[in-house]
Amino acid sequence: MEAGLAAQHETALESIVLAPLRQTGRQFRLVCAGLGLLVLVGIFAVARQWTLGLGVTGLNRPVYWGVYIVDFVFFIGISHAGTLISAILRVTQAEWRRPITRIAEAITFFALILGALQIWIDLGRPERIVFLFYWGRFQSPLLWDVTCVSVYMLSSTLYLYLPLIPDLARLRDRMIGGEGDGRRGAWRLRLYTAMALGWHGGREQRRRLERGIGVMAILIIPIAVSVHTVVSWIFGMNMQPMWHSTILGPYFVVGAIYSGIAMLFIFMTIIRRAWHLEPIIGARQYDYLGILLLVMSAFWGYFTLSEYLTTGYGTMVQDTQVLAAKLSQEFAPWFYGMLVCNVVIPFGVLLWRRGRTPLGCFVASLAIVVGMWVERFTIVIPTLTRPSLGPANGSYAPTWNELAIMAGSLALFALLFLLFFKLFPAISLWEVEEGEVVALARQKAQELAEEGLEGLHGTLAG
Amino acid sequence: MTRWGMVIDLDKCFACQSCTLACRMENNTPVAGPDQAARGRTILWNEVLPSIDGSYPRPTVTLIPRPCQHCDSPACVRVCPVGATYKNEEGLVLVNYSRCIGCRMCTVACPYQVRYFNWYPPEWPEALRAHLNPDPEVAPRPRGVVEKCTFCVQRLRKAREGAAAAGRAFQATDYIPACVQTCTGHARYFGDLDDPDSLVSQLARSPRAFRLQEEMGTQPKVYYLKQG
Amino acid sequence: MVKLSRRAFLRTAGTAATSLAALAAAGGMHALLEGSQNVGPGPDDAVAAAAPAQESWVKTTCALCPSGCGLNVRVVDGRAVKVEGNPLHPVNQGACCLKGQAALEALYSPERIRRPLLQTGARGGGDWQEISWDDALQRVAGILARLRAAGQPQSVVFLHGQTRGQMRDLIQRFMTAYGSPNAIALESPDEQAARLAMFVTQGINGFPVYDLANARYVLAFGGNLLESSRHVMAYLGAAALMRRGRPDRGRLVAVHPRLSLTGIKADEWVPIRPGTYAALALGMANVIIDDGLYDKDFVRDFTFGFEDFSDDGGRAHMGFKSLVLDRFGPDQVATITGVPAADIARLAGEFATNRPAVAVLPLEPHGLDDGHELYTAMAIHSLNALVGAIDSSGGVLVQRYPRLAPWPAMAADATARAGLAQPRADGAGSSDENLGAGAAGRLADRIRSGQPYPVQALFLQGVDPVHDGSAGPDCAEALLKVPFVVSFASTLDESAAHADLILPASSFLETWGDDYLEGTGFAGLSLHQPVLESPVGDTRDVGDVLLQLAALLGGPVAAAHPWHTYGDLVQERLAGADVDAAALARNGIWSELSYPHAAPGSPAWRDVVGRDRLNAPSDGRFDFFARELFAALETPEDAGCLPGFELPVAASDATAEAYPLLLISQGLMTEPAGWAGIIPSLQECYGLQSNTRWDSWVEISPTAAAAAGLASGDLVWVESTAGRVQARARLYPGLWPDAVFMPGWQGRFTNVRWGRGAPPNLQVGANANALRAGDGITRVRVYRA
Repeated sequence: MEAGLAAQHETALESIVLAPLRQTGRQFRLVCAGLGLLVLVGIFAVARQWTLGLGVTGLNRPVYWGVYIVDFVFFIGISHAGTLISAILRVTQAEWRRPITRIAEAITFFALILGALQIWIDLGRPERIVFLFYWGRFQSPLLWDVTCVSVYMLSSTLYLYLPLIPDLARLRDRMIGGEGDGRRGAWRLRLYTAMALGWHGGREQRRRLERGIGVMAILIIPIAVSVHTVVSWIFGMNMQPMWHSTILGPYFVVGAIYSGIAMLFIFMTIIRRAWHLEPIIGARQYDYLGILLLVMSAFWGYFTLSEYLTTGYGTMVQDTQVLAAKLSQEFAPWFYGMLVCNVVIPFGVLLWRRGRTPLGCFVASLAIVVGMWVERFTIVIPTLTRPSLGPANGSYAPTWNELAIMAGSLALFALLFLLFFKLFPAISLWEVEEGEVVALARQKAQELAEEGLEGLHGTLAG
Repeated sequence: MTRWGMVIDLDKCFACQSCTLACRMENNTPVAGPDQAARGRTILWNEVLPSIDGSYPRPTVTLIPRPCQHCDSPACVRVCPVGATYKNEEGLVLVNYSRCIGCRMCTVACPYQVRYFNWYPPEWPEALRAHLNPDPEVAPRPRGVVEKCTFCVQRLRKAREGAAAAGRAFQATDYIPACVQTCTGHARYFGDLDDPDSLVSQLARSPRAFRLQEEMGTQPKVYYLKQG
Repeated sequence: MVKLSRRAFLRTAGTAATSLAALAAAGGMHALLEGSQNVGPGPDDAVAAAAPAQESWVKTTCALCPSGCGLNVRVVDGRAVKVEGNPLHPVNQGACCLKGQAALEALYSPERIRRPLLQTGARGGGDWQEISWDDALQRVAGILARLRAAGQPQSVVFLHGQTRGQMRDLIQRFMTAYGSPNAIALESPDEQAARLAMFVTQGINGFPVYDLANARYVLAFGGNLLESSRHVMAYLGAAALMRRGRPDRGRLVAVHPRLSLTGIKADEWVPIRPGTYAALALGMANVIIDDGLYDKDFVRDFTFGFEDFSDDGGRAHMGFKSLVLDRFGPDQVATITGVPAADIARLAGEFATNRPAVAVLPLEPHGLDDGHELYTAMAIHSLNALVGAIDSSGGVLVQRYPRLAPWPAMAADATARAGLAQPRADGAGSSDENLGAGAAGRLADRIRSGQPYPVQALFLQGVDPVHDGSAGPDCAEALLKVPFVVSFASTLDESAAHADLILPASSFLETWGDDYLEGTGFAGLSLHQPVLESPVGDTRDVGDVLLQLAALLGGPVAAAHPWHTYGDLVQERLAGADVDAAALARNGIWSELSYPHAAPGSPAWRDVVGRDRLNAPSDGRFDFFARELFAALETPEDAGCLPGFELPVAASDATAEAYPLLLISQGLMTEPAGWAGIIPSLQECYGLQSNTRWDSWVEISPTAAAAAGLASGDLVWVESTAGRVQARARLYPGLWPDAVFMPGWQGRFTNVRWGRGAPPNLQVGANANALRAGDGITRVRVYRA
C-alpha cells in the first residue's frame, strides 16, 4: 500500500478534494515549470536591478513611481478577496461561501506577500528596508502602510490557518506512514501533526475554534478596509492633482474588493476545472458571486464617475491638465480601455443569469483584473507626468526589466498558490460538511414545519 | 533663531543658467549624458523653469530659477518614512544620504519638483573627477538615494570655521550659496529671514514679492520679486 | 577527552556558523543604523575636517567668450575644483557665468589632446601618432624655412579667432617678420561690420561699447545682447543696474525675429522680418527727423552729411535726411519690416525723447545676417548720432586701452618685404571687397582656386572653420589643397581632424598672459595665470610655440622675437606701461576707475571722433555720409556711402517657393567661444526655452508648423540648397511666422561616452552651419523625416 492518504472510508467529497494531494498530473508539472521559469526570469531581473540600480527601469523625473507601485496597489487590492468572501460572507452567514473560503484566504495570503515584495523591489536602497522598522516615523503614510499591511498579513495568516486546523487534523489522521516511499510521506505527516496542534474535534476545541474564527472574521474586516485605505493615502496625502482627493480611500477599498472577487473567480475557475471540483463549487457560487461582482462593478463605476465628473466640472488648472491627459491625450486609450474592462464587459456578461456561468464569469473576471490593473496605472502615472511646477510633460514607458519583474511576480503568485494547494486541501472539508449538515437540518425543519409535531415524534422514535 | 532664506529678483535675472551650473560644480551633481538626459534623469539642483504661453506676436514666457524652496512646512519631511529628510534648527531642509531608503515618497510629495534621485551610481569620466569639490558634505551620493539643494550647507560650515579662525563673530553675510555668488545679474540675495533688518527680510516685504504656489501652504523660504 | 560525534560536531559548527553570521549581520546592521543617524551641521557643530588640505585661490581671466571676465579659481591639493568671479574685476564684478563655471570641464576634459599628434594616413582618416614637441617643432620650422628660402613666405596663412592681450600683436609680428601678410582673423561679417561702421562713421577702428548702466532707453537690434554679445557679461551687469540699481528704471527693447532670452527679459520684444533691421532703423530716423526730435545742435555742429551737400568738385550729394525722408516713411518701412507703422512711430518717439537713449549694434556672429551688414550697422549707429549719444553718459563709448611699453624695433629683411607686398590671401583690402567686410568668408573659395597664389601652409588657432563655415562653405575641401595644415586645437574638432599636425594648445587656465578690458569703456588689463603647477597634458601655450618656432627659424625672424617665453613677453610689455603692475599681480586686474567722457568739441573729442581716420578729415564730425567710404571706393556713389537698406537676396529669391522658410541664427548663452570640445554641463542645460539637452532642435512657429503638418517633437529634415540636416521640431510662438531657428554650435563629434548608455562616437545634435548657402539669410524647407 502506498504511503499517503488512506483512501478507505472516504466520502465522495473527500476523494474529490484530496485527489490533488495524492497525485500530481503532467499538466500540473508543466504549468509549474512554466511559472517557475517566469519566476526565474523575474529573479534575474531583480538581481540585475539591485546590481545596476533603478536606472534599468523606465522611471525618471517626474515619473518617480511606475509599474512596481502599480503592482503593489494591485496585489494589495487583490488581497481583499479573502476578506470579503471569508469574513463578510461568514459574518452574514451566507452558506454558499463554504466551498470557496479557503481559496479566497489563500489568495489574500499570497497577494499580500507579493504586494510587500513589490515595495522592497521598488526601493532605491533595498538593504535598508529594516530602517522602516528601526527609524519609522508615523507621520508618514508609508509607515501607516507598513503597519496596516503587517497587521493584515498577521491576521490573514491567522485567518487562513485557523479554519485549516480541522482539515489538517483530518489529513494527519489519514496519512499512513507505510512501506514504499516512507520518507516522502513522513515529512508531510510531521507537518500536518505539528500544524494540527493536537486537534481532536472535541466540543471545547470546536467552541474555541468557532470563537477564534468568529472574532477574526469580525476583526479582519476593518483591518482590510484600513489596509487599502492607507495604501490609497500614499497618493491621497500628497498634494498632487487628482491624487489629493477625499474619495480616494473608499474608492480604493471598493476597487480592491472588486479586483479581489475577480481574481478569486479566475483562480477558482482554473482549479475547479483542473481538479474536477465541479460538484462542490457549483452554479450557485458563480451565480451569487457574479451578482456580487456586478454590484461591485456598479459601485466602482459610481465612484469613478463621482471622481471624474467633479474634477472635470471644475476649472482648477492643475486638475484639468491631468484629466485631459486621461480623457483626450496619451492616456486616453488606457482610460477608455479601463471603462470597457471594468463596466462594459462585466455588465454585458453578468447582467443576465445566462452569463453568470463559469465561463462567463471567468471572461468577465479576466477583463476586470486587467481593467483594475489599468485603473491603478491611470491613477499613478498621469498625475506624475503633469507636475504643477517643473519639467514639461513627462512620459513613462516601462522597460523589459520592469515587465519581467511584473511577470515573475504574477507567476510567483500563481505558483505559490498552486503549490499551497498541493499540500493543503483547496476546499475547506469540515466547513462544507458542516454546510451539508446545516442544509439538511434546515430541510428537516422545513419539513417539520409543514408536517407538524407528529412527524417529529415519528422521526425521534425512528 | 536663524532662518535662512533667499530672494530672487526676476527683474535682474536674465535666465542665463549660471546659477544652475555654479550649483552643479559646487555640489558635485553628476553628468547625466545624452542617453539619461533624454530619459529625463538630469540632476540639476537649481533649474531655470521655462513656461511658454500665448501666441505670436505677444507670447508670455516666464523663466524662473528654482532652487529647493526650503519650506518651513515641508511636504517632503512630513512623508519621509524614516526621517531621512529633515529640517534643521536653522530652517535648512537636508537629506541624510546614509538613511534614505530610496522610496521616493518625498520626490512625489514635493510640489516644486526640487528633489532628484540617483537612478544609477553617479559617474564621471575619469579625467573629470579631478574637479570634484572635496568638501565632505558634497561627496558624490550613492545610487538609490534622493538629493537636492542644501543652500550649500558646506559653505555655512566653512563660513563659521572661517570666522572662528579669524577670531571674529560669524555674520549672516559671511554665508553665500554658490548660486547667489555667481549670479550674472546680481539678482539673488540670501540671508536670515528672522532678522527683520536683513536685506532678504526687507526684500521679502516688497510689494513685488511673491512665492511659488503659496496656496500649497508649505511656506517656502525662497521669495521672488516680480519682473517689471 | 570528549569525543565529539559527527552529529554533535555538525550541530555545534552549525550553531557557531549561524551565530557568527547572525553577529556579522547584526554588526553590519548596527553599522548601517549607526551611520544613518541624523547628524547634520547645526549652529554649534564644527565638523572636524580631515587632514587640512592645501587650498589656495588663483586669480586669472576667462577666455570662453570675448567678455574676458576675471576669475578666482579654488585650487585644492593641486586640483582646480571651483571657479568664482573676481569681485574686483569691473566686467563681471564677482559674478561668473555658466561657461566660466563649467570651465573646469574643459580644463580636465577627457577629450583633450595630451601630446602633439602627427597624421600618418590620409587627412581626416584619424591615423594619429603621438610625437614629441621637439619633433613637431622641427617639422614646422623645417617647412617654414623651406618656404621662406623659396621666396614664398606669403604662402603661409595664419588663421586665428579670438585673441586677447598681446597674442594678436605677437601673431602679427611673427608673420610680419616671417614675411607673410596673412595673419587673418576669422571675424564674422557682423562683427566686422560693427567695427567698420564705427570706422567709417565715427572714425574709430574698434568695437562700440554701450553704457547701458546709465541709459534710459536701450534699443537692441539683432544679435542676442544678453546671451551672446561680445561684451555680454558687462551688459548683463549693466542691465541689472539699469533695472534696479538706480531710482529710474531703464527700458530695454529688443528687435529680432526670434524671442531669445534677451527678448523675454526685455521690456518689449519687437518681432521683425529677418534681414530688415536697416529699414527699421532708417524708418525710425525718418520719424525722429520729421518730428524734429533729434538733437539739432549736435547734428548741426558735430556731424557731416545730414543735409544734402556739394563736394569740392561741385557735385551734389544726397544727405542722410533726404535719404531717410524720401524712402523710409513709416508705412513703407512697415511693409518692408512687418513692424506696424504705429509701433515704428512709437519706438522712434520713445527712443528720441527718453534720453540718454542708445541703439545697440549686435557684436557677434550672425548678429545681422543680411548680406550687407556694413550699411545696416551704419543705419543703426546713425540713430545714436541723431540723439547725440556719442561718448555721452548712457551712450556709445569708445574702448580705451592702456599704454604699454613699445614693441622692440623689428627689421624686415628683403624676403619679408617682398612677401608683405603681396596681396592678402583672403582678398581683404582690395576695393571690390568692401574694405574687407566678409573677406574671411571667401577664404576657402580663394584657397580652392589658388588665387592670388596657392597657400602652402596653414595654421589654425582658436577657429574651427570646417564646422562653423566661417571661412566659407566646403572648407574641408579647401584644406585638402593646402599641403601642410597645422592646428593648435585643444580637442579634436572638425578642422583639426583635417590637419597634418596638431600642436595642442594649453587651455586658458594653464597659461600666462594678459587681456585688455573690453566692454567697460575705460582702460584696463586683466591677468592670465596658470591655476595649476603644470598643464594637465603635455601641451604648450600658443605664444610659447610661436617664440620657439621663431628661435628655430633663426635669422631676422628669431631676432624679432627676443623673448624666451610668452610670459616674459607679457612681463616686458607691462613693465614701463601705464599700468599698476603690483595691483595687477595682486588682484588679477588693473583698470582705470571711470570713463573719460569727452564733451563734443573739447580737445578730448578727437579721441572719440576721427581718431583713426585715414582718408576723411579729422574734423571731429560724425559722418552720416561716410567720407572714408567715398575715398576708398573706386567708383563711389551716394548710396555706397550712406546707410542703406537692401532686401536680402534670399528674401526675394526664385527659390522662395521651394524653400519657403528663412533660417535665422543666434548665439546662445550656453555656447562657449574658444573651446570646440563638448563641455558636458553646458550640454545638460543647452536649450532652455525648448527643454533641449545634448541635442539640437529646429524652432518653428505654430503657423509654419501647421502648414507643414508638424507637431512638437517630430523628427524633421531641414533642407537648403546647400544640404540638409535632421533635428527635432519645437513649436515656439516667439518666432517670426516664416522664420526657423537652429542653434549653430551643435553637431560636434565626441569620442567620449558621456554618461551611462551614451554611444561611442556620438555627434551631439546637428550642424546647422551645413545649411548656409552664401551670405545673409538662407532659405530652407522643413518636412517630417
